[in-house]
Amino acid sequence: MGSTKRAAALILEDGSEFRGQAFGALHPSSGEVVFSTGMVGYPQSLTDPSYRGQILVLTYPLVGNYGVPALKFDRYGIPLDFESEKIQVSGLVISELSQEPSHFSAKRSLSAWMEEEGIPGITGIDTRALTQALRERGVMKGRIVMDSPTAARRRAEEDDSSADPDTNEAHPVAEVSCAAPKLYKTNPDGPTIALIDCGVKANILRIMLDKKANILRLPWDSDLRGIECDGIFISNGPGDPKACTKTIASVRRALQGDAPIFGICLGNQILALAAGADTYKLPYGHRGQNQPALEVGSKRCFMTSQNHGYAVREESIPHGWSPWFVNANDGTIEGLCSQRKAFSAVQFHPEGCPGPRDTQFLLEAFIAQAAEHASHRRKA
Amino acid sequence: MEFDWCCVNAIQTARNLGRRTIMINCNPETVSTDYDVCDRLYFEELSLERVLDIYEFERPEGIILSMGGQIPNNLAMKLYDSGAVVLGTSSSNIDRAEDRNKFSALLDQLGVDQPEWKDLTTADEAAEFARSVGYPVLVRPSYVLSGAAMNVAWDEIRLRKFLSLATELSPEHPVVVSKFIENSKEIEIDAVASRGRILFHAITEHIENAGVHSGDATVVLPAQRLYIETIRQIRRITEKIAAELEITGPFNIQFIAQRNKIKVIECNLRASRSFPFCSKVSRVNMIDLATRAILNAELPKTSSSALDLPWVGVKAAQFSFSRLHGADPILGVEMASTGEVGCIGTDLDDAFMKAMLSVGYQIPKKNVLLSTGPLQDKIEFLDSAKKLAAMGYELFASGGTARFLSSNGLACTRLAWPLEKSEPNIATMLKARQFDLVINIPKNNEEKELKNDYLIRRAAVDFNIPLFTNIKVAKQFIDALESHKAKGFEIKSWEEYR
Repeated sequence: MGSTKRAAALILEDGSEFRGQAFGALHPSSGEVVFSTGMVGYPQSLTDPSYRGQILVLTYPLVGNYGVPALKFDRYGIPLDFESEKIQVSGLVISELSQEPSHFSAKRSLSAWMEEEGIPGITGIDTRALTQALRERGVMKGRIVMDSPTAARRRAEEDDSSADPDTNEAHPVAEVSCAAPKLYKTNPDGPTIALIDCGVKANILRIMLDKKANILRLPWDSDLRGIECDGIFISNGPGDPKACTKTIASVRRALQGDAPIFGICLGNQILALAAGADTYKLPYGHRGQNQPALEVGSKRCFMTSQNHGYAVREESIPHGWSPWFVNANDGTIEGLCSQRKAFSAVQFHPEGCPGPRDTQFLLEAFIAQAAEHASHRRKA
Repeated sequence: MEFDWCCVNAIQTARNLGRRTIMINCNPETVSTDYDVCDRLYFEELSLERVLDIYEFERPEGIILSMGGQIPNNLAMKLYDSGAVVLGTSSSNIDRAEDRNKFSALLDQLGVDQPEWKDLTTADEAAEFARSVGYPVLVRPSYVLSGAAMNVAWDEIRLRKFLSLATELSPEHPVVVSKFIENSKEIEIDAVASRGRILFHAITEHIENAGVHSGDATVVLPAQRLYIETIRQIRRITEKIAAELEITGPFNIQFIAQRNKIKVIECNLRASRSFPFCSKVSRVNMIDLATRAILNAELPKTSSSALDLPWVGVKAAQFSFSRLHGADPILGVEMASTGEVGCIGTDLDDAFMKAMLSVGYQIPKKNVLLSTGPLQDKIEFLDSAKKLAAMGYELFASGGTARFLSSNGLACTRLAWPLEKSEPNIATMLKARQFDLVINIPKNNEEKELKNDYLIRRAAVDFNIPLFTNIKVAKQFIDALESHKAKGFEIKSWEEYR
């Protein structure tokens, strides 16, 4: 178990190299290199669909010390202890891999899990220097290669198929969204939430079901017309929100109606685009579990879990909408809400997993709004 | 051509701002489709499906629709409804300007005057509306491109004839009938705004009275013959509309003015045909400014308007009537020109004459044929006829015009109409290329005179004799001619106009 002695390197778009040792699956991989500052929660982070296609750098120096639990499902078929059924990242970059995991629920080591899932990792990297490089130059595409970088380059020249994948061609949301609609029924009297699945994290489903809501989980490009629901939820997900034109178009139509709408992360960006605002790519994003979000008006500060590379352009927020939260570090928009209807969204993750659940009440408030809408609907 | 310039300049600015650019255009005869103008080029039709396919494949930051004229502008609402990001003025506000009912309501709300109008679905309704507002009326189908299928009806018979030509009238395809205001000036404003605040504006006036398509009209920048009060009102109205529609990017509003009464006839939230002309004359690249506003970039420091330029620009249209056999070379609400020329001079006369020579007119040597239409036009033209005589031109005229000139003490030779068989006849002299200039102002009644007028105009075109059919342009030409004889041209390179 644990590490092999095989050498590996991370090569960035700008040509810089970081050498270390391979673990997990022993094959090359490529993707956008992003860093997260969270101290714990690698089983959740690695399975978070929002990381789809990215190479994740964890800044916390020691990773893997509590192992990985076995994959089990609850009665609704939602995975326990993970945010989706499989590892979503393309690769993992860490400073030091723990050789001897110890935890009551640990059934395998991090390296063994990644090997099973076919995902490569690289340890022994100066993640501090790497993170500083990413902060200075912005996120970059990168590649994990086996053995020495020169040998890898030679192989790459011989083999055209290993050329950099054009990230434009992949549609990461389409890859992580559910293939067909699925109904989770908990409570005949509870509100029904139409959940647009752009790569929804399992804990969002768990919280909604726990609050006695029924969920109709829909593929990302579903047409909401003709679907009866008491609330619309737009999930988190990977990539550029502008790629989700079909989702934006259906949310735009939903804005004409009265059903409450709530979005998280990518859902926040999609709601903003649907309302007529614009989004842009942040230089290196917000990824971590201690991002401070200030509530506009009250100045109350919440510690939030975040994972996003894009943000809503503040000056583009149209009339009738207001910023709801802003990031206390850089002042970017962390949420917005309609001044007229129950339409709102947050850029951070109230469901945590990993990270604090200090803002879980927002998700619960949305379920309450939907329940109220349901009772009005029944009366009418 | 004009929109091509706008697209190319928008792309250049976007590239200078470090953006990757994608151009979609189905017309290969343009500079914007040169392979090195943009980063990615698509020769595709400008339909919703095609543009959306390209959008989904390329995943751009957004789409700019305001540079390519009306066709891309018409896609705004559809693209927005399909989830695309349209940069610049929001699509719902573009719709508020494009939809006649919504725009009319908006003008009412802002307290801005507009000609009376109604959209109608039957010929009887149209006739009743026309009776209530009084003829003439302007008839146009709900979707208008370059004024196609637009017409002015002077009485009920012609109104019904146009309606039968126009289309099948139905609730889905209503026709818009509006009061046509005669003898009024047409004024346009081309402007650039950012979030409803105007950054730069250029007010232009047409030499022709309202009713000539702005692509055909002779346009003057800065407007030389407007009341200060008119300019003030136009600015105020434009500010209100820009603020209400939160305009970001280029836009154009068309007004008609009659004795200081200003009415808005149209508003387009896109670059108009006159943007290149206004940009070049004012030396403020309005497309660069608009693109920066749309892309949220830093704005260069410019003056706020093109009103105080120390020179005058005149834009004249180039026609190809000689290539269109049998076509009547008169201008109306439908666009007929195939190109245009812009000229700069120290004053209006200088710039105007340069523009006229550039589109093929010549300085007449000796003989001028006059046929100046209805009585009010004859009276209006009298001064100019006197100037021609004073400059030593020999005047020839058709029956009524000759009588009128003689009774006002001007010597002229009376000629027979082409349809009369007697000599000396206008047709014979035209064929013998005896005239250096023909001024024929059409009338709008009496079949026989119309036919005679047409024969004169057509012969003038066929024998390549300079022809004026618009009284305002003819008068301006004679003024310019007088000034030219006295002073000659001012010859300077473009670089000297700074």
